[in-house]
Amino acid sequence: MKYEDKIDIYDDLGKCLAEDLPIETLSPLNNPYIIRVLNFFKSTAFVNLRKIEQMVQQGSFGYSSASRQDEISMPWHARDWKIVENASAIAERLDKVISVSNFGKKNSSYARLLPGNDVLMIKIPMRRMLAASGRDPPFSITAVALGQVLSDIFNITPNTDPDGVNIIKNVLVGRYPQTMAFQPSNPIFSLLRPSTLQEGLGTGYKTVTINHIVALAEKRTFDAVILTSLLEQASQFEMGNALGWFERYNLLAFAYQGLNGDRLVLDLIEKNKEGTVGDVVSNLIRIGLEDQVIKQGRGFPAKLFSGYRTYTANDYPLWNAYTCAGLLAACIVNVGASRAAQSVASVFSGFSDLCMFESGGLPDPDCGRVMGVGLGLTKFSHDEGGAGGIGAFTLDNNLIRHGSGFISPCLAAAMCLDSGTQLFRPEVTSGVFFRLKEVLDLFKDPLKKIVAAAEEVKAKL
Amino acid sequence: MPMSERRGKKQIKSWEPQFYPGYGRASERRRKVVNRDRRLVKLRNIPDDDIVRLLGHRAPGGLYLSLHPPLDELMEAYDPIKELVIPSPGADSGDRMRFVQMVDSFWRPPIAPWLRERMYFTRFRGIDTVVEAERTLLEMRERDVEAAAKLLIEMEVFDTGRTALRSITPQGHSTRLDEMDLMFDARKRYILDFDTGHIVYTKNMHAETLDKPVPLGYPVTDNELKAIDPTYRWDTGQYKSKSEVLIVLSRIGELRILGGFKPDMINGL
Repeated sequence: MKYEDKIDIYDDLGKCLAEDLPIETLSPLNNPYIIRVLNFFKSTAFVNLRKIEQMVQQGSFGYSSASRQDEISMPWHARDWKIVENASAIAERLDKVISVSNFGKKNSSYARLLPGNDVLMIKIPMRRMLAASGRDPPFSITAVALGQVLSDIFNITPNTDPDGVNIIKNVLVGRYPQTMAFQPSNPIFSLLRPSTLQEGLGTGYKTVTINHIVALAEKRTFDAVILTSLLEQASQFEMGNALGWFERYNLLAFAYQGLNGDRLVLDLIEKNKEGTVGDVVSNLIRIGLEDQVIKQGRGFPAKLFSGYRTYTANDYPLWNAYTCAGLLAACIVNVGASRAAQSVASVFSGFSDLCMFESGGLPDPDCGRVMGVGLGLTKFSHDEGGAGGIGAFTLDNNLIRHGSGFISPCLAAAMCLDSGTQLFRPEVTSGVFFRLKEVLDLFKDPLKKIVAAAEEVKAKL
Repeated sequence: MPMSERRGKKQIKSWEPQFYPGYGRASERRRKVVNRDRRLVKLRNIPDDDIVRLLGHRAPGGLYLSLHPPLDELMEAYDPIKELVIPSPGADSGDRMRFVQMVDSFWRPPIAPWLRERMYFTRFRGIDTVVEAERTLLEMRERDVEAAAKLLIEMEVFDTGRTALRSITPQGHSTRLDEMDLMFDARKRYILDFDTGHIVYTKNMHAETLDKPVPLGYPVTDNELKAIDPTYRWDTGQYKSKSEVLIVLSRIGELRILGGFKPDMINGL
């Protein structure tokens, strides 16, 4: 094992789930549960059949924005295909088209209907994903397969219905490939955005919208924090941001902030349930001194003439993990008081500002990157350049992408605590993903599963 | 042993948080404003209805409009954290989000925008704030923001001449003071009443004319302003006197750069 650090993991009720877990078992490279979640994110697509039926019946396809879905309306090109009625037949045929020869093993089902019978969940076979150069099959395979299936079921061929053939293409993929990707609110979608919209190497897992994660966690704060940190850290590892010098730095902060390591986040919240952000900062410094992560200096220049002392950290990555945990606790305390998600943005700058002066000149969380994000995020989410609700942000939004993955967990927590003040609520933007939990238990109790998987690989590492 | 118990056992005593380096008037002032345990002096007494009138979000005595049902009646998914953190009175009853925006002059203000942010974060709960060069926005639930505004206007951090409530056209903090030694306001929200010597707001925060003017009392004299000014200036606290602040600021800057480059580089520094 590379690193000696061990950590206790606690859940949001304060129960200890595991003791002395090596931090490396929590790495996205090693933890089997995390890998399973990541695979689900990149190899699953969803098809909104009701939306397809509506588009076909109204003749509106090829629109260019999420808000102007009626931009193009051609009722004379409408078709009377009963798509939702035939949902199970479509799922069955789709399954056959997508499946691959499995070398004698039993074939599992790849297309299944979510409760409500109008949304299809399509899991691309592993073999197709392995043979692919990237993570595009959920979009490409699903779109083409669904086109063939619709053509088969409703008998749409150049001979029988020449316009219908074009309609199928336009309904399923919009103006693509003239555009970079499918249109906004396309009936075929995934948890991640298409790779053509990705803005940097390795930022694929960051293309998920925060509201989707909140919906997957069913608005349970710590579950959303865990899922967001997990995706963020996977992305940091892929980008090369958590390599070598930074691997331990990221793993520690992931464990302390994302997984409530050593009960730090919960302790701070419990102590300050009626407190302010400033109280969280003071408590955090006290805990840092008690745990001997930081220590007060003696004599000039460590002790200045006014009695102000500079502190030193013998292990800065660990102190950074403490401050990141404190940041999350401060966000939860502040947003929990106002129950409005917008209160989270200014905590980034406020917490960092108070923290660096109170901790005697030690850097604020993530060496100032959190402060930088805070300044931009508050500015652009309030003035006339308003950036919209934080719930509609993807993790790689240009306002929040600069950190090392310790910012978006706070935003996800804020969206969970929001009591209905936001325009882009998870129920509005990500209704489908609330339904996912009923058919899938992958996202239920994620912390328990991460810990169980970590215990499993502990001996092997 | 659970971590919280372990922490409780080895509690350190005789430690108090330090808020800001430096000695002298300005640093002392900065420490006082940020420290929640130190009470601010109350300078004036403004009736609640006048505060509501100045903010202009609702008619005095009018009902609070709500954004969602009270939290008790709201059906929410189970979450231990929601039950743990105690919501503010405004959030509890589902009020709208409203704001108050303060502008501080360059010329001996009782408080400055960057210090305001720190004060808000140590003294208020459930806030959303934005700091710009001259203005500080504070967004909270409606009844919380009224309580906060009352505190901000009545306490020593508000001077009727050098601090103002402005939501639109907040510019004027860095222009010269006008002939009455008041901060310039393009909307003329407040005037000096020559008979009483009080500053009187004839318009509310949004520059809409008030039915009844709201007097906010005497402006603080120049000598008193010198005593509570948190900024360094050539005629009061000079550049040299902030050497300690500069030591700490350069330390923060250096450690941020080194730590951001390679975290282990600042171990033990």
